[in-house]
Amino acid sequence: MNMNCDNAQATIQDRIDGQLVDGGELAAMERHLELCDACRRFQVDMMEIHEGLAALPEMEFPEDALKEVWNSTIRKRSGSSSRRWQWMAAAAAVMTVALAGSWFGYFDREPEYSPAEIARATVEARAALGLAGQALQRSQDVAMEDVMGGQVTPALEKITIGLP
Amino acid sequence: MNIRKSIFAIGAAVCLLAVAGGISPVFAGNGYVDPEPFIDLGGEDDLNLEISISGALLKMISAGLAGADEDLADTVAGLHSIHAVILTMDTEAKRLRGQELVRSTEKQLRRGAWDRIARVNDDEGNLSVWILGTEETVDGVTVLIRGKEDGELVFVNIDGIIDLSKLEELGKTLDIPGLDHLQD
Repeated sequence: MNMNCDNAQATIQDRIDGQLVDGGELAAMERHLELCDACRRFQVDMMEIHEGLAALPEMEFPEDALKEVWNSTIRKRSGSSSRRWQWMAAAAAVMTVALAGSWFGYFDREPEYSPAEIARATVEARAALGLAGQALQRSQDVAMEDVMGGQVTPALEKITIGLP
Repeated sequence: MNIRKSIFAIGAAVCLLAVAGGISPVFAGNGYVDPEPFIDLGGEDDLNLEISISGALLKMISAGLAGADEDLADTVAGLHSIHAVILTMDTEAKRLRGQELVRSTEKQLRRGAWDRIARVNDDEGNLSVWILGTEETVDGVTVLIRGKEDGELVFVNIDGIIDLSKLEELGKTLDIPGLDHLQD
């Protein structure tokens, strides 16, 4: 069995990596190495690289780096389209819940006011109602003046709405 | 457009319509008149007073007054909202804008089936009182006052069922400078 350079170098790599190599294939590789200077140099280089790598101390791969790689590669590719729809669906769900809450009165619960705010609002309400009351009174006075002057106006008839 | 997009589009449209419907004023009754044009006219410089009370706060006021001032408590209890705005129009141009706003508001009230129950017009200013309601109940009161000399502009809107006799009584117990120039 004859072997070319490509097959010989592949067999060299398999043997260095510890993979099982067929005995006939291994013998063919050895015969090729006796005749091929380039493949012998390749075998020497590969063995030096392998020994050099084996001499390096073992280091733990940072977990964050692993997640980063995961997020920037696999997750990004697989989620680009469906993820957008997931977000939109989530937004629609939140809106639906909010609306449902509003319809069922969840958000219509009375807000809380401090005693000071209620006291201030009471004064304001009294002032606003009093202002309207004074205007009403003033207009009624004018209407009465018209009556006294013999000028009964339609306004007088309407202004009695609500009066005892 | 695929089915999923169509469903989402329909859902979004339904949600938007529902939101738009839900934005309508919660506490507004038939007697509500928007005070915003008067607030906008006054801006920061000419706005002397702005009162805006509605909903839960009115209930709390009524509850707080129970036992202490029954008339006011009863009056407030039937209301949806109270709005009052007092402006000072200190230039001729502003007074003209105020006059125009009063006229446009009166037109709006007239179109809205409000009745002007009184109008006072003399050298110092003019005053009009408008009510919305039937012979049995008054559902809203709006007061417009415009002082000719000092340029004071007053807008009051009371939205809700109100007893005018009680309102008048409240006016008697208060000394409000806003109407001084119109007093005899």
